[in-house]
Amino acid sequence: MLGACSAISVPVTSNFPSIPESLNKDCGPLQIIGKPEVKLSELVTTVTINYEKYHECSAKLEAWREWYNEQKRIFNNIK
Amino acid sequence: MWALNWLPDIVFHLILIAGVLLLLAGWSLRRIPLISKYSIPMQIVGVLLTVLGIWYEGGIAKDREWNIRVAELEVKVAEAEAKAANINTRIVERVVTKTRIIKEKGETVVKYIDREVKIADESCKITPAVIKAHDAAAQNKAIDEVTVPGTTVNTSEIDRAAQPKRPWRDFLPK
Repeated sequence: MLGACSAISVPVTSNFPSIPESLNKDCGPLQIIGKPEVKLSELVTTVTINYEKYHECSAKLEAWREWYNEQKRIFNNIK
Repeated sequence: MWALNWLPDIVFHLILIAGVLLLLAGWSLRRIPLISKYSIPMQIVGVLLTVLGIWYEGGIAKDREWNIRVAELEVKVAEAEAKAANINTRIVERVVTKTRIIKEKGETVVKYIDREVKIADESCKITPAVIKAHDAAAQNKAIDEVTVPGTTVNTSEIDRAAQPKRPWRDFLPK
């Protein structure tokens, strides 16, 4: 009968881990030309800025993945 | 087991001791003629108290075990929360460093464009179609959805498609 006690949940609560503020931001839209005429250098600069944005967003995604995997590992160790 | 929450453990220890003592007393008193008549009731009460005492002793032991586990878990949770905070700091530092490097490399490319690509500005004309293709890709829109300000879009194909279809009889020789 005392074995039934093992089904009672333990009154310990853990807070859901918060994510870093810098990861909780949108990547933002890419730059457009938005005018009828553009110089080649201007176009290539816009493309470069957009690639930069992609790389920043990719770094953020990588950080998110790392954050998730690490938090999962920590969570699984609480037993 | 609810009684465990508001009665001290000593009460249950005393119940068990009293039960065992009554059992022993009932067993030993039955040989004394004058009080042997109390032997059976004493033994019955003794058995009841002993059973109750053992039951609660089991509960106390289990309760103690749970309290130890709760304390262990609380320590683990506190450690986990500290580790999670450390990981956040590490990740933020890494993202900040990566972003700085990305920006630095981007700036070198922009400087290179200013130095080397600007030379080709006059000789290489960018048509509105290129701008339209770029803006459509940047906004993840279909080509038809994008309009570049100040440019006229050739809509003859669309107009032709929008014309009502002629019935097949119109094509027959008259």
